[in-house]
Amino acid sequence: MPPSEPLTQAPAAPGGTGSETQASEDDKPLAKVIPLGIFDPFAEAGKRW
Amino acid sequence: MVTANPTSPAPAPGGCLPDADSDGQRQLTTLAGWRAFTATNPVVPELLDQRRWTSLGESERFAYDELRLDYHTRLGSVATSTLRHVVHSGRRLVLLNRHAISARRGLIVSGPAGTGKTTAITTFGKTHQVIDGQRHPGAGQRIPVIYITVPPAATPRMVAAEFARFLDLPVTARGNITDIIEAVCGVAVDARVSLVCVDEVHNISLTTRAGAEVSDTLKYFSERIPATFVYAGIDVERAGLFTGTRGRQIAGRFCLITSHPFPRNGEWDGVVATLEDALRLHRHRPGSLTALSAYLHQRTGGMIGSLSHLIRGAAIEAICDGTEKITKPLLEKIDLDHAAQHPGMAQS
Repeated sequence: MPPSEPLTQAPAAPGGTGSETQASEDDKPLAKVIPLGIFDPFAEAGKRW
Repeated sequence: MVTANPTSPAPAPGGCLPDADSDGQRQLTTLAGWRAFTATNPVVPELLDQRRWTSLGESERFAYDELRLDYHTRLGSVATSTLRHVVHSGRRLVLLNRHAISARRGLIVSGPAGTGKTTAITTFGKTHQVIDGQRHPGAGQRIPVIYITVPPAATPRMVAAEFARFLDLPVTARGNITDIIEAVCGVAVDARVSLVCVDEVHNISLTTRAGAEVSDTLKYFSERIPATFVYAGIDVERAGLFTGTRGRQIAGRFCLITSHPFPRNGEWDGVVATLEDALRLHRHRPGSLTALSAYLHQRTGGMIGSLSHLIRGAAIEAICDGTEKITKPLLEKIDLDHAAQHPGMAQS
């Protein structure tokens, strides 16, 4: 089962070197991307707001 | 992690197969179809561990894969900022309109095709239906939501017939529009309809006589039925829905929420991560799809509808061919709609 917080590559830092931006996808460091989640109308309905 | 709603227990492998045929006959534009859509959330199948998965017999494996195929045909609606905005604004409008006796305010969701307009208003409609059920438990006769679509080249009678069809009221060839409207309004008031969702409103052209009359008919319904009206359509502000006397009246009563293709940003990555998180594939490497976020944006033009189609299609392919993982070569095999591949066309 996939984890709740899948890993992905980090975007290139603004001040990164040329070699960093040219690195292959696999070579780039991994950073967490936070999933937005699946919208659950039943959970939403239970919220006051 | 995606979780099943308590009302939708995950079936065990080898259990009852989803009734795909009856699902195919469900239409949101009928009361039966709408009630089925709003009654439960899609079941999230349990992903078996490697030992149990490889030891399944042929019939068990078939049933297990069928459940996962059925699940991946839908995958649920990602909680994007636009969807949350529509639901939040819609809930606020419903409350504001609760005691209004005239000039109730409405909501219009407008944007290019494939940007999630229908998903947003139907999800809001589902949320409203659930809230109504919680406020009035056991009141099975209530119909809190009506959902219709405006047919192409619609006439007032055709739109009135769409309302009647949703409510399962008979519409005879001889029945005139006044009879249909009276029947619809009578049932809607009795059944405590409090939200009316009208999709495909771009099919109304206020520059034509028929289109203007359809607009007048919807306005008349909104005056007779004490409900909040929510419209959705393709670029309606550019299609002339707000022009002229009728248009200005609509503009004065409806809030506008626009949906757009996603730019390549953190929210896009979050959408991809959500869909990846929802996958139920045995050999898929977590994070490998999110790592293709830029490629997916290029393929889909940032259209969430196209992204969902692409990932769901790849997941189904991965189950059917036994690879059980989504890779870039597999994604390349999935054909996409023309508009997603030519973003300028989608927004024109």
